[in-house]
Amino acid sequence: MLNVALPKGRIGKKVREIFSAIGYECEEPTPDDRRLVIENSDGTIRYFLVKPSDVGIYVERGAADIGVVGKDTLVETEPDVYELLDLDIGKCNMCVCVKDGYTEDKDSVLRVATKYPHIAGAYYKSLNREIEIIKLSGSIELAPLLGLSDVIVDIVETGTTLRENHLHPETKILPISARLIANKSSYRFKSEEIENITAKIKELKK
Amino acid sequence: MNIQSEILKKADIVSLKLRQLYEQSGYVKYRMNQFEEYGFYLENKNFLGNGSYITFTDKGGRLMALKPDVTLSIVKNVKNDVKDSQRLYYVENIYRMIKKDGEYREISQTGLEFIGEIDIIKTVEVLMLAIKSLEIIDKSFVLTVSHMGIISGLMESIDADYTVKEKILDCIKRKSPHDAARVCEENGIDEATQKRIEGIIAAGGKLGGAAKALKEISCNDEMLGAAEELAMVAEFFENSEYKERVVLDFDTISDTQYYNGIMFCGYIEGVAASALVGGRYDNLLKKMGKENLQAMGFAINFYELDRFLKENGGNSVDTVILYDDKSAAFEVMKAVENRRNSGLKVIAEKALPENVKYETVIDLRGNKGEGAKENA
Repeated sequence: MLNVALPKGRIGKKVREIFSAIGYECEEPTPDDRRLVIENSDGTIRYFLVKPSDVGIYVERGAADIGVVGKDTLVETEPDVYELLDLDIGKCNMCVCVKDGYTEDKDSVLRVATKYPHIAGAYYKSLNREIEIIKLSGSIELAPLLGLSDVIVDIVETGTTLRENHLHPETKILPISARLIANKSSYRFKSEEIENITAKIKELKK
Repeated sequence: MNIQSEILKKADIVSLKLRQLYEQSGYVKYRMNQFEEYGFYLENKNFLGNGSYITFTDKGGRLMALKPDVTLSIVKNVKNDVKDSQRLYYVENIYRMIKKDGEYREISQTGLEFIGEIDIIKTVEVLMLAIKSLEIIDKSFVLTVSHMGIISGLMESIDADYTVKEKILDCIKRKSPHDAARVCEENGIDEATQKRIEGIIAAGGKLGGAAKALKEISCNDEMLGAAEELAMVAEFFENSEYKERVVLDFDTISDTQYYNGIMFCGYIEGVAASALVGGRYDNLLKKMGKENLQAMGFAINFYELDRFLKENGGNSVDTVILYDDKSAAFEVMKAVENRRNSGLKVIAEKALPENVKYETVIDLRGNKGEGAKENA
């Protein structure tokens, strides 16, 4: 049996549709359904519904053989897994965003508010720019508005929230989309099933 | 006193069997100091892949580190002008920071090193020992094999700076052709190179076929030479009982500054991470001024295997002897010793233990002598 870690939420719905479309039925949980484990009718595949940021951990530690996770989480947490396929869903960009009319003071340490300290740190390190990371868990857009930070590093999908808060993306750091990942050991012992799923999703994408 | 094999845990048996395998193969046990000068590890921190060590200052004011690695110390102590091959193995504890939780751990590591002139026979000798080591741990295992020559040859052929090459290497390790294509496009790398990288990521499965595929995509002598060496190794395994268990995979590729030649990695079904990692590291010897020598070895990491090898037996004994304040100490200890001498696990307690499983109870409470009632 193949164990699959799927992210809960919007991306999770799309991923379940993909798995169902390639013949690995994944029942849609009803709003009242509190189950976290869903098994398909022929018992060949079992889905775990987990928080998107935890998918990498489930797969790295072998609790799940494969999983679907955003590139942002992969780069931020660096789980030791194979990244087999870009599913081309949940597309967005990791960007540096600034307040409208902002100009950078190159003579000061740049204050960067973000949910992604690793990604932001690596980006500014590549520019050799000294920064101070302000780690936040949500409503990142508030930080430059209140003078808490100079810029933010965050995911931008449509840019609506930014516009409504008088911010705009200044630099694209990384394109983001959902990726199919596999545990390194499971890839050896369940290679046929994992390769079959990868090939079928690839085919579906065409 | 004879040792009863039943008292050995699965991990103990694995450890003893590994030692027997290495001794029978002519490898000599190597014992090393618990610590070395910090500077020595610092000079070679890329080899260790992590720059965090547990350090302390010794009596003379030198900064020392608890050993995070064994291979480095072995290489340091090998003489450059030795004529005979050196076959060494070790069973040591090392101290490293675990990436998963950022904490330092004491990790039990067993491994071996072959130092001398390495040809195909010696390469296969080390690979076979790796395979047999995995087989001792569990029958369901896979050994992945790759060659650093393919990677360094590929990197040589790419006209890009170091950071771009690092990104490509990372894509190969993660089996991520989509990201490799993006890196190539962003950095103007030609289509032929892109296809070559894709080919390396896709190369896998049985060693023979994969080595042939690598030969076809090779673009310089280094890649070609590496593919040919892989083909020779494949030829050996084609005729061995392990042919289904040896596959090509570039998941083990590492720093070309230290490693060259064949690299390999062992997986056990049910263990989430690799259990064994090894390869050829002539470049490390060169870096340490030992140009005349070549080396190949591997290490088994028991940190990953610990849970797998643990048995669910819990705490159990054969017999509990119950006593109270009226029981004669001599009678109680005689009853305990008699049974221990006949090979049973026995404990004496005033009340039945709650967290220990037991088969038999002997009640010597109230000064009852031997022959008291026994409860199954």
